[in-house]
Parts: sequence; C-alpha cells; structure tokens
Amino acid sequence: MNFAVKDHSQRSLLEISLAFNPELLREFFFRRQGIWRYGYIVLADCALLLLCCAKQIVLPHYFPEIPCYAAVLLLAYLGSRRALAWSLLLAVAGGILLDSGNFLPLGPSSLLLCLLVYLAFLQTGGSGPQKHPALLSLQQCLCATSIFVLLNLLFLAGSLSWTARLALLPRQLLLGVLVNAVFAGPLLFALLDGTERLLFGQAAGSAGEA
Amino acid sequence: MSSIPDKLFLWLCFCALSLSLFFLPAGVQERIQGTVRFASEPGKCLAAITARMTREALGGLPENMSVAERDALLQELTSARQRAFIAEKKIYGLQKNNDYLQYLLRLSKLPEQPHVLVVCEVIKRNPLSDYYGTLLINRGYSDGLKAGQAVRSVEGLVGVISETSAREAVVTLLGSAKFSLPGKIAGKDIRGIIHCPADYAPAPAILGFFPPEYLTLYSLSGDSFTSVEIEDQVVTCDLAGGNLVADIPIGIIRKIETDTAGACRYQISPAAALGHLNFLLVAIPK
Repeated sequence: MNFAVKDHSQRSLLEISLAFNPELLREFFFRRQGIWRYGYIVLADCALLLLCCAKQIVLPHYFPEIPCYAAVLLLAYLGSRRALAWSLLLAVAGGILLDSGNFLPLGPSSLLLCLLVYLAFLQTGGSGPQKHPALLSLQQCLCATSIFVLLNLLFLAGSLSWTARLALLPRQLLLGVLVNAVFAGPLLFALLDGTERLLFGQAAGSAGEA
Repeated sequence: MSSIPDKLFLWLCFCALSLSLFFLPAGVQERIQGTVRFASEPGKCLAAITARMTREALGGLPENMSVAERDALLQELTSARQRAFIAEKKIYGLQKNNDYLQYLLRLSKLPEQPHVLVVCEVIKRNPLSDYYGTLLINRGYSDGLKAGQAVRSVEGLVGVISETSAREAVVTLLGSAKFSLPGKIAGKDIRGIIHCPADYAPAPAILGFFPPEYLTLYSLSGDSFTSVEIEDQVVTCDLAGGNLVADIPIGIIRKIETDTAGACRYQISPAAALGHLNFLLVAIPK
C-alpha cells in the first residue's frame, strides 16, 4: 500500500509505503508468545504490584518481628526481567501505593523504588540469559533489600534518634536480608520465572524483552 | 540495543517524575491518596486475610496470643467497655439531676458533655519508625471519628486522632514528639498543655526502643499551684473545643519542677502502656 504527497507539478514530496506481513500478524495475534504474552505481562505485573504493596503495608501488624518487603522483591524482579521503562513506571506506581497506604506524603517511596529498579537493571547487564540465575537473583534481592532498609532508616525514619535507628539495624537489616534476600527473593524469582515458562514455553529473558 | 546513557537518561526522567510528586499541592495529594487507598482496598483485604490465616496457623495472633487468649482479651475489653458505659450512664444521670437541682437553686452550671465509646482495632504500627509515635485504627470518618478526638485504652489516654479517612484513622500517641494536648489536674483548678518531651531519657541501645518515660504539663493557668502534690491525677480537658472529651485519665504527677522563669512544670507518668495495643476506644462526644 503506497501513499504519496505531490506538488502541483505531480512530483512526489513525500512517499509512504505500508507492507503487511500476514504470517507475522497471524503469529502475533494468535500465538501465545504474541499479544497474549504482552497482556499477561501487563495484567500480572499490575496485579502482583497491588498485592505485594498491600502485603508490605499489612504484614507488620501480623508479623511485627519479621521484616518482609514484598514490593521491593517484586520490583527487583521486574527490574531484571522487564523493560526498564515499564519497570520504572511500576516503581512510581508502587511508591504511590506504599505512600498512600502508610499515610505518608507522596514521592519518597517512588524515588526509592526507582533507584532499586535501576540497580537491579544494571546488575542484570541488559543482556541475554545469565550463567548463574540463582546467584544473580540472590545478589539483586540482597542489594535491593539492604538499600531499601538503609535509605528508609536514613531519610524516612521520622523523628527517631540516631541511637534508635542503629538499634533497629540488627533486626531490619540482618534479619530482613536473611528473610527477604536469601529466602523469599529467590523463591519469588523462581516462581514467577516458572509461571512464565509454563505459560509461554520459553525461558524468561533478561531486561528488554517486554 | 540502547546504550547505558540512554537508560540513565530514562531513569533520570522517572526520578524527576517521582520528585514532582513532592511538589503536588496538598489537596491534589489527598485526592490521589484517597483514590489509591480505595483502589488498593481489595488487595489489602486479601493480604490481611492471608496474613491472619498464616499467623493463626503458625500458632497465634500478634504478640503470640492464642485464639483462646485473644477471645478472653476481647471479652475482657467488651465487659470493661460495658462497665465503663454503665458507670458513665449512671454518672450522667446523677449529673443531670445535679444540674437540674442547681438550676432550681439558681446555681446553674454547664452539663458535662456526654460521649460514646467506639471500639477500634489497631491495624498498623510501623516497626521501622514511630512505633510509639503513631498507629492506624480501622475506623474513620464514616464511623463518626474526627481529628482531635481522644483515643484511650482501659487504663487511660493513649493518643489523639490526627488524621482520618473513610475507614481508617491515624492516631498520634503519647510517645510522639508532635503530641500535645490540653490537660488539667483533677479536682484542682489548674489547666495547661501536655507535651511529650523532645529528648527522651537515655536508654540502652538494644533491639527496639522505649516509649517515653514521662510527659510534661506546663503553660499552666490557675491559682492553686501550691496545692498540687505528687500522685495527683491529670486528665483531659475540653479547652481545645468540642472534639476532645474531658476527664479521661492521662497519668499521675511524678515530679514537680520549676523552670528558669520560675513557673511550675509537672512531670507526668502516663497511665496507659503503649506496648501491646490491639484494641482501643475512641471517645466521641455526642
């Protein structure tokens, strides 16, 4: 299909040519790896973000002794598996969810989560499948959890004295890293990768695929 | 494939977007927060249900209470509330009779403001900061709660409502640096402002942190300062307006001081503990 813009002497000023590839279009709309995968990514990521942010808001009431950062782990996963723009958009949205649920002014959590997503993206390296995905997921969760806790204690701890902030470090940092980075994070990564592999029959790639 | 500087620029753009949230006007922020809280309600309900089921499966509710202990505590709180309600109703009746008799004797006096007690559940306390500063309860303005209303436990006042949404409210506790409240010494005509001191008494740096050891009553008005004694009870007063119910116990005087200007200042030991708060009562004036 050709479109052309011509002047008064019938010379083409602008020509546009459209070509449709029926095979590729059929593949895109009717195969699992096509539009359905994009739909799954959008819906699943949004639903998981809502659930994980809600978990992070609600869990301290039922498990005050165990720090669990579900939203941080999910965003570390998204930073390593999805396109950077999409992950950052979800990070801003997740930060708004966390700030609204905690009755805080909007902005600090969004900024913090954007930083975590970018660090997870940098650690992945933006390239193909990794040699040691389990170790990489552990490293990303460790980095995300530590930075989240430290920045929260530094900037978002309200009127706590420095002594009280230091006193919180053993539980929030050490135990938090143990629970989140060593146990929950790799488990979450494996679960989400496995679900994607099960549904779409291919290895979940690194950042840039979505 | 995009180069690293392109990704860095993209990240900086999103950081700028996040920074722009700081500069939104307060009204716009509140509307966004309200909408987001409404949208996240299903997620929070599901998260609360799963967390509660997991906690009960692992041996009990927060603070390691079993189901039987939780039921016993609920029953105790309910019966304490009923006793308090009956006693207050009786006192209200006696007060009304007293007011009527004073009216007949032309000694009219404004009747004490009646109030109702609403039981609320504590749904959030942030362990990363302000554990003894603020908490979230599961009632809001749709249940009649307003900012400035007193929140109490069975023992006495624990805080004041500072912010409400439709179904939740933020309570500023006695341990917050921002806590301030009008108070009076029961039985004596002395009123003042109660603050939590900004500098807490030195405490060992172990896991967690301590609630405030004492509050301070100052900016006093009245004329019987010499009659104040140790262990006098301090209660709320309705100096600030209609939302705060009077005569809720806050604590007892543990020390009498004089500041550099020669004015009296009293240290108060809080009556209510701030440690394990699962259910609270909000005093709503009628």
